[in-house]
Amino acid sequence: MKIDKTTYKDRKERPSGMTAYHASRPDKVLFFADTHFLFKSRPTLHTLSSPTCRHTNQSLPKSAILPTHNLNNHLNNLKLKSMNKAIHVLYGFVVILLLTSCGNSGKKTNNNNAPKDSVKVEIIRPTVNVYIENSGSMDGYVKGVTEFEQAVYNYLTDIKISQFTDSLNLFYINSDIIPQGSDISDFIEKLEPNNFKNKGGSRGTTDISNLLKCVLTETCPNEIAILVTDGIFSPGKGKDAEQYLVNQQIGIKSNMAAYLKKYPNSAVVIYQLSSQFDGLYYNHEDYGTKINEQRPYYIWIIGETDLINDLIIKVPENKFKGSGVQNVFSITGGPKSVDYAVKMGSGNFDLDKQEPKTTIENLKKETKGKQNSARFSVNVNLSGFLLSDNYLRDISNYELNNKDFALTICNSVSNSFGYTHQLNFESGSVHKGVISVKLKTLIPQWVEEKNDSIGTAPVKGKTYGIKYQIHGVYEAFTISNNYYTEIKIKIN
Amino acid sequence: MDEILGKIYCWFESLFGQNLAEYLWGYSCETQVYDGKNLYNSIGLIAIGISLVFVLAYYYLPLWGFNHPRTNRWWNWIIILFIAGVTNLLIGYSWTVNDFLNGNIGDCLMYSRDSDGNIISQLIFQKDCWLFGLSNFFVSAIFFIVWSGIFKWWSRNCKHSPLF
Repeated sequence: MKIDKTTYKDRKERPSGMTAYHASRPDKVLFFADTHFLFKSRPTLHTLSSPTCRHTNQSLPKSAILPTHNLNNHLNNLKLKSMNKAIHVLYGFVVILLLTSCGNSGKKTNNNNAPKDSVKVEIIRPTVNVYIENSGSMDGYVKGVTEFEQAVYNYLTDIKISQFTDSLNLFYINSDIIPQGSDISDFIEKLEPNNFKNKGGSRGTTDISNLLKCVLTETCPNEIAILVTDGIFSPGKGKDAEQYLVNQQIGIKSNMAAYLKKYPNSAVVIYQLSSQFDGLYYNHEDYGTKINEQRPYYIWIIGETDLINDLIIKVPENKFKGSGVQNVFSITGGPKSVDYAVKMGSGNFDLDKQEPKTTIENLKKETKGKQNSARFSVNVNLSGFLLSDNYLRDISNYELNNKDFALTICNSVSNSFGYTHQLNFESGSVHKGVISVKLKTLIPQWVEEKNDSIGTAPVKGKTYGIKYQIHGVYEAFTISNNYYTEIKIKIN
Repeated sequence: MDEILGKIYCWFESLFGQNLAEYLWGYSCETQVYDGKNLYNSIGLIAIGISLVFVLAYYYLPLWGFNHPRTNRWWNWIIILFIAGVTNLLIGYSWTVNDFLNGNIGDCLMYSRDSDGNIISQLIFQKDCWLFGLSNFFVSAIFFIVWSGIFKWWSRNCKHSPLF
C-alpha cells in the first residue's frame, strides 16, 4: 500500500500543473458499476439476464427474465435475495456519491470566496538569557538590598511581564556559565556574596574578553543575551596592565567580529548604571580595598537588532529602578537604507514628478519675509538604529558633503510614515547636485569620561578599562564602514 | 507630454499657491508620490474644448449673431473670449472648491503641523480656488487666442477680427 504523505503545502502545486485548493474536499473515490438502472425504459436482455438484476423490471416478458438458470433451487433464491439487497445498497451509495460530487465541480474548487482553512499563527517569542557576573569584584553590589538588585530584579520582571519572552533563563558567569533556573525572585533573593562564592567557578580574575566570548557562543538566533557586569578588568599581579587592556580590546573585537560574521544583523546596547557598592574593590593587581560608595556597573544587551529594538520599546531605559540608566552606548551594523522623503512645502522648490521623495527641482531662495536663503527639509525614519534622540539630534554625528548647506535636526511632525526626525537644509546660495548626509557611527563622549585608565584605586563614577571594551565592540562593528546610513537628495 | 498643461498652469502658480498646485499635479499625502490624477490635464482639456467651441461659434455659427458682419469687431471677439474665460473660471473654481470642501485635498497639503500633530497654519484657502479659477481664465484666453489664429481665416464674416 502506498501511503500518501504529501501535505497541503506540498499539494499546493502539483507536478501535473493542477492547483489544489485547500478548502476543497478530499479526492474522490470512484465506484464503477453497471449503470443500466439509469435507463429505466431501455432494459437490456444482457444485463437483466444476470441474476443480480432480475428484480428491477417487473413488466418485462417472462421469457426475458427467466432464462437458463434453475429457479427452483431454494438456496439459490436465498443467495440471490441477499445479493440483491447488497446491490441495492451499492446503487444507493453510488447515486449519493454522484450527487455529492456534482456539488464540488472544478468551478467551485477554484472559487476563492470559499471559506479557507483557519491557520493559527503561533508567535515564537525570543529567549532571553541573563548572565550575572559573580566574580569577587561583584560581591559589593549584592551585599544586602542594593540598587543593583532592585534594578536587575525590576528589569527582568519588566521583561517577563511585558510578554517579550516566554523563556527567561538565569545564569552566573565567571570562568564558567552556571545555570540558575528561571525563577527571578528566587534568583534575586539569593544574590548574596556567600551564594556567589558557593556557586563555584574561577572568581579570582575577570577576563572580560572570554566572558563575552562565552556569552556570544551561547547566543543563537531569536535569543537575546543580557550580561550584568561591573566591567572592571583584573589583569592580575605582575602583568603589564596597559598591554593587557589592549589585548582585551583586540580579543573583544575578534570575538564580536566572529559573531557578526555569523549573525550580521546583530546589535549591542550597553547601559551604564550605578549602585551602592559595599565590599572589596580590586585594582589592576588584584589588591582589594574596602569601600562603601556608589559604583558604576553595566548591563550589556546582545542579539538581533530587531529583537533588541522590540525589547527597548517594551522596556525602555527610563523604566529602570534604582538610580536609573546613567549613559547608553548602542551600535548596530551599517550601512542600512532608511525611509526618507523631501518634505512638501518646506522651501521654494518643486518636487520631481518621478522621484518626489529624493529629487527636487527649481530650488530658489525664499522671497517671503526676511529670509533670503534656499532651504528644504527631509523627513527620515531613524528608529531602527537603537540610538537615543540626543544622539540623533546632535549635528556633530552627521557628515554633510556640501559645506555650504547648514544642517539642523528636529523631531518630525506627527505622521503615519514612521518618520522620526526632520533634517533641515539651508544655504545662502542655490546649489545643484547631490546632497549627501551620513549618520556616523561614533563612540559617545561619556565613554572617555567614565574610563579609568590607571586602575590602581577606585575612582568615583569611573570604571577601569571600560573604554577598551567599548572600543573593541565599536571596531568590530565598524570594520568596513563607520556610518549607520546615508541620505541622498538630488537637486536639479 | 502629459505635463505640458500642468506646466502652462504653473506660470500662474504664484496666484493660487504651491500646495494647491501640488494637489492638482496629483500628489498623494498617503504615498508621497504623484500617483493621483493629474487634474491639470482634466481641467486643461475642458478649457481647450470650451475655447475651441466658442472660437468655432464666433467664426462659423450662423446663429444668434455669431459669424455676422456686425460682430466683425475686435471688441466682439473680446466679449466672446471673456465669456469663454469666465466659463472656465467657474469650472476651475467649482472643481477645486468641491475637492477643498469635501476634504479630498491631503492633510500634508492643507495644513502645517507641529511635532505633536497640532495645526500651526492652514496652507490652502477657498480664495486659492478662486485664484485657480482666475488662472483657468488666463489659460482659456491663451487657447482662445491660439484657436482664433488657426480658424479665423476661413470665416465668411469675421476673418478680420480681432486683427488683420
